[in-house]
Amino acid sequence: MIDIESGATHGISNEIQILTFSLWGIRFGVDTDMVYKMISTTDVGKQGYEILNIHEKFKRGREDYPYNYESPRVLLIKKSENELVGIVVDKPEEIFSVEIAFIKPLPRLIESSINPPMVWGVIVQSSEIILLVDFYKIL
Amino acid sequence: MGENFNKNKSDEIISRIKKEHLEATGSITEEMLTVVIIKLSGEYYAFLGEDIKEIIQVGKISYVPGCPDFILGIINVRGDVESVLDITKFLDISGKKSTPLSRIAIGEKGGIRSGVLVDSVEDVMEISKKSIKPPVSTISANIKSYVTGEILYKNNMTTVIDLGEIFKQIVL
Repeated sequence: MIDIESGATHGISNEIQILTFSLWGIRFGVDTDMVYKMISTTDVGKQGYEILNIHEKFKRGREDYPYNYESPRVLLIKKSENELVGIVVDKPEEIFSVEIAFIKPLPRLIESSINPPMVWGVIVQSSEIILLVDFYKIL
Repeated sequence: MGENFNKNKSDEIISRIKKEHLEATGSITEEMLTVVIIKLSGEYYAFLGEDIKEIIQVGKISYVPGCPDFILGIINVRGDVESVLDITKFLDISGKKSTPLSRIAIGEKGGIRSGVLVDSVEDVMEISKKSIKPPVSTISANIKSYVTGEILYKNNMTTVIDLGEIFKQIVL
């Protein structure tokens, strides 16, 4: 098991810590403040959490469904004060800090039409795009 | 010879020649504009040149979950993030898969900017504004609002797309 300190935020600092994972060759990132713990899929089975498969929330067309997870891990997210939900993601890669100033908003046409707005921003890292996701928008 | 010689004769001759030339070729102040000829689903279409800021090769388009099917995703253009549209949905035509000839035209109109995926870019040319004819009366009501008019390109009636109207429709 890997512990990720969630902690409460008092105001918004100048940087956030991002955990990246991949799906369909696209890199996604989640603010680690949102993540209570990252555990294995076998451990989550034993502890009886509600589980969501991220590809079902992100599905992009029938040809991509079902999705074959290569290195699945479960991110435990606080749904409420006493309730944790497990979101299964694939290929968690790295954790790094990014200054808020480097986060780009979504292009206007996407911002006005995205539903649900689970992708909230974009980071460009070494010419590669990382889509920032807010799991609270899909819980 | 010489008694009634007109000292202004040469000026008058040249003035007359210029006037006749002008009448023969039309007004030299005719308004010209640039159009970008593209292909979508094997057919020619056109954008107004003033609506297109640049044309780039298709790199990796990152799909963004939660977007309608006419938004293909986003791309990185020199550090800036641009959306990429599939406008075939607005023109009632079927889209084609990307090929090496596919390009993304970065359009900007009415303060809204986005990439538009096209099958190919065929030509960029100047035409007179008056050569843009109104859309044919048989045009489908679904797409009429997205059409500026029609021009003749290589003996094909070519629809000139109003990109600004498409962008406005998405934002509404």
